[in-house]
Amino acid sequence: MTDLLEKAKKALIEIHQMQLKILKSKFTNLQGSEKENIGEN
Amino acid sequence: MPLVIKDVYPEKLFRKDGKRLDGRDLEELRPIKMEVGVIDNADGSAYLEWGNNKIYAAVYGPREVHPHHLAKPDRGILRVFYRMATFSVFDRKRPAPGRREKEISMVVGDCLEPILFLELYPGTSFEVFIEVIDADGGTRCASTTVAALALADAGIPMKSLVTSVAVGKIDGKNVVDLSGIKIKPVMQIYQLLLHGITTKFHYYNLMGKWI
Repeated sequence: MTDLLEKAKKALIEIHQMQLKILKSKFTNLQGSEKENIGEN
Repeated sequence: MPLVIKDVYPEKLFRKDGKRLDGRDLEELRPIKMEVGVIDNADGSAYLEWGNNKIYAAVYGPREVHPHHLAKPDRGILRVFYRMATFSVFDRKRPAPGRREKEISMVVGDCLEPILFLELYPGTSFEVFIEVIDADGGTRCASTTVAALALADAGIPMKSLVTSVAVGKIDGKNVVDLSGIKIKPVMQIYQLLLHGITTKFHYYNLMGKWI
């Protein structure tokens, strides 16, 4: 069970890094007006 | 006479070299491709390809709650609608939402709710629509991952991102990221879904019997 959780943790971190990478690439390429609109909702 | 296609079960679930039938190691994930901002009409959206799974997620909100009696005066509500397209699986899926879809909607909602600051949006709702275009096992994990991405794309304040993966045992071996391969009923497969906030596990969904 411990081994399985360790493997799961490793996989989760890998997927998490991918999520961060894609969001980082989106939010760093925003133009001025788009930046202001974030969170305006 | 109706055409009957019998399920073909593999005789073995592992190759001679110890790898899985699709060529992956026991700890190896299927190829993952993510994209955000794919639906213009949504406040936030994301697309995920996880192996052969293809899933869209769209987020709307905060917006007025319909029907009004569902609104909560002290906090916002999160509603998740998971749906599989009729053509997403080999056998045609009935278009009406089934019990499985309702259950997965609830599971994904339970995973996402703790990471949102719903108390900042009283009387409103956030709606997450998840559409599975192609399914190949592990859609509930992929849905959770893509929904979190769509929420982040909408610019909604979040405590963290949620990621999710299925792990389990096949023939006594621990494996990560189970695919939708047909399993012979006599072969044992145990799936444990882990939905974690970074490295903390906060939701476990146990399917089958753990040994």
